Amino acid sequence: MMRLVLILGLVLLAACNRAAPDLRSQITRAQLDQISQPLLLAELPQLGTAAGVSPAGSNGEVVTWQTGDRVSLSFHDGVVVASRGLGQDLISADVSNTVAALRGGAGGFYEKFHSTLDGEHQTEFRAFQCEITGRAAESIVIFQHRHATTRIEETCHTPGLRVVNRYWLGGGIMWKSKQWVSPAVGYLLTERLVR
Amino acid sequence: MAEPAIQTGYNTYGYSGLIEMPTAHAMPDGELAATSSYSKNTLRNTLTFQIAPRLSGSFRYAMLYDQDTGDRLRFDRSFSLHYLISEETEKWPAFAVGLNDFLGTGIYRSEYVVASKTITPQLRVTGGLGWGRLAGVGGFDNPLGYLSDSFKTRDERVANQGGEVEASQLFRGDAAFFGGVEFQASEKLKLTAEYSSDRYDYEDGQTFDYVSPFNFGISYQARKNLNLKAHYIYGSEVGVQLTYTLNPKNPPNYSGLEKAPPSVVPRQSASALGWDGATTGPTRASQVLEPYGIGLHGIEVTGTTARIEIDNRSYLTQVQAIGRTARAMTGVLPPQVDTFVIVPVKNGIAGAQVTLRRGDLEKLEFELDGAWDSYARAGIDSAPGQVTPIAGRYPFFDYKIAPYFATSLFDPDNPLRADLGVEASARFEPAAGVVFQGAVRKKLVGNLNESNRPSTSVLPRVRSESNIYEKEGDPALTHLTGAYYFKPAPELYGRVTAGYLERHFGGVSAEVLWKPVDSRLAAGIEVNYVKQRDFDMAFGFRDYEVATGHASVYYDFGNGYQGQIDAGRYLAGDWGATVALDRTFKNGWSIGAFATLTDVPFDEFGEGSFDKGIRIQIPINWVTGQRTRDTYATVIRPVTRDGGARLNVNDRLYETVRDTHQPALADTWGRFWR
Repeated sequence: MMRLVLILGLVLLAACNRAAPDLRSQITRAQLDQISQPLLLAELPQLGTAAGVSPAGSNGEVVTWQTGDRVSLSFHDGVVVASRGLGQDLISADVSNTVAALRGGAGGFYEKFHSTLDGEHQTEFRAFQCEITGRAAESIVIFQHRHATTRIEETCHTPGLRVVNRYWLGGGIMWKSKQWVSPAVGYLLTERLVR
Repeated sequence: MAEPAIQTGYNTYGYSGLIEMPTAHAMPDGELAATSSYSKNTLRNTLTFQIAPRLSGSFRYAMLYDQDTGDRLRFDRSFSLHYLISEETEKWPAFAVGLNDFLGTGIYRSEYVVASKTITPQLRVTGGLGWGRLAGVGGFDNPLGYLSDSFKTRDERVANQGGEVEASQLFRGDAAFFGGVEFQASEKLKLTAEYSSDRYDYEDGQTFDYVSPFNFGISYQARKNLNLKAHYIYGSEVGVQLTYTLNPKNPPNYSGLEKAPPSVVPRQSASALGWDGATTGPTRASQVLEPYGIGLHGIEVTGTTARIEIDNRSYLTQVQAIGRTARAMTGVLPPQVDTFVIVPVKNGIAGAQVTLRRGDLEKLEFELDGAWDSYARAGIDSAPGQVTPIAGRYPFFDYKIAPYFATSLFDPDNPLRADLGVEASARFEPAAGVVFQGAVRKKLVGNLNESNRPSTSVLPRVRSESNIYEKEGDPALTHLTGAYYFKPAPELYGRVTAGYLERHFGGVSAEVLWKPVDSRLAAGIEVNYVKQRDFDMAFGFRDYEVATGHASVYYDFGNGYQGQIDAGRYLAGDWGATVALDRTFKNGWSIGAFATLTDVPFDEFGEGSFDKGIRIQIPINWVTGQRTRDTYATVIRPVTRDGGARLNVNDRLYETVRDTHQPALADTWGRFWR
């Protein structure tokens, strides 16, 4: 299913279900330059779907972004804390230690928590032991715009699973990230298209 | 405790087993398996449900070569139970006991005790003792004979209509050993060899030629839910088998594909809310709920409290609609309102009221344990009264034209009858609590009308001529009723319905239900006076009329079991009671069994001796992940006759009220933030 969504008079492909759209090839720098609202490109390779998302609400430090057909992703300082409408949604998360570590915390292991719902609507928690396993300056290009970022790699362990999340932070903005959501959703890739 | 890497499979009878013989291990709790097994002149289709972690039940529909008439297929329906006595431990095998065909006409009648032990992670051995059909090869004197002489002989089943448990025959007569070995060659491939104690005396010669008791099989797990088997059995035949499994605990779309909920709008950023009280306020509130498929029934702001009554037309769990309403209201209600009282309304009557503090919604939206925290802080009480419905809520009219699919499963002559057609339905609510509704069906294709089995019933033919309705009722008026719902007291609910109540009867039905909001127990009384409808399912009636009604008790045991007893007078004028037990899943699945005993003697009742069956409910939302309250429900009866038949009425009170009360709200609170 493909659906076109109007963002400020511009047609941008928004959401696709299970059929990987080549969304990137349809986005041009000229289009992006005409958009004044923040815009994030969200890709879910495991589900084969991608969409442009824009802010739909905020509560405290959490900002919720939504696709044109109302699938949402919520971030705390760029770290994903919730999803809605993806199937095995991330219902909630405690990422306070990750946020602190990204700011340059003390180092060493720290905890991170995710929750999902089981098939009978009961909350199941997943506790990770995480560690920053890489931090380096990296210059990245997003649709012809170059950004000076720090690339931070976080490795998290939970019984039977090891995930590696990557964050590209520059000037207080999460320009790019690769973050694990849940077993069925897999990794979420984000790129900040418009500040 | 040893965790066998070896996979327990289903045998040709559709329960835990080797090839034809049983094994001891149970299947995962809640698993539902459809098994189809074929060998020369024998087809067995079995539906098995792991009712509890140790107990499974099977319903089997076999098509056999009829030895008595010699020229046509014989349909044989049978039930089985398999009970795991103890799980496998480091030292001890798993032990189980089972009964086959303890209710039916007896072709597969047998009992067994069986032990299975995993020797290496890939190798498991099974041995057991069988009675009845499972004592056909190498039978010896029943060891239970030491306990009592009565175990030594097994009489032939007394000629009867089936349906009776002949407890005096269980574990009687000769016993024999059976056993086998399973080897898990790879993750997907398993090899099995067994020694069968079933001699196939009844079938040997005409169905196939029995040569040897040794069977050899191969099992291939093609997909997670699909198993294929092939075996060489009794030294002469090749059999094949397909098993499809699913578990209600594992929805294909996990927590669902419903669109994102509204976001909480914290009060400090809610300056431009534009709430101006009674005039445009309700319109705004109703507009913000509309995209989420929730109707606003009524709203009233008194001081710092807002009372919001909603019609949840979209979400299977009321909790999800309540959570979305609460968040949407943070975007429209003025900042001084700090308490939301949200009340789901069904058929114009209020369920429980859920009281939430606005500060908690703001604080808990992204809290890790936000579901539990919000539940712990919510108040769930009986609604004291109702607010005036918003302008424009009534009168309400809605109609739908949609395809329908109707099935009749496992009837005595054909295992699958089904119709596909178009249904036009309409609903009109002139005022709160008053509901007119009706539906007309036009069949497009199907074979429900092909049943020609004439009724042989000596009772009033209240159900046994339903095939005539199928033949003559096309198009059919399935129901056309007017109903009034009311709440005579805080814990009481009332209903009066009149009209064409169901496919076969019309008349008047009145019901009262007692159900406190936080009670697992409910009780009700229903009285009806009905007349049988004409076969053409238009507006006319036949001569038969009857007063029927029941006193009912409902109990939610927790842990997923729901019991119900209805005692009273049935459609044929017979008096008795129905006992039902359902395994319910919090996601809306329900699988249960019921049995009705009335003052109709078994031989007067006819085949099956008494009314009984299996009922299954599957929420469409579980299948698609999309928001919908639609549920597919079916009842499978081995045979439908006239004794113990109950009237069907739409929107009975318990089913109407239940999901708006405890324990349903607590059970599904995980969906509050979904």
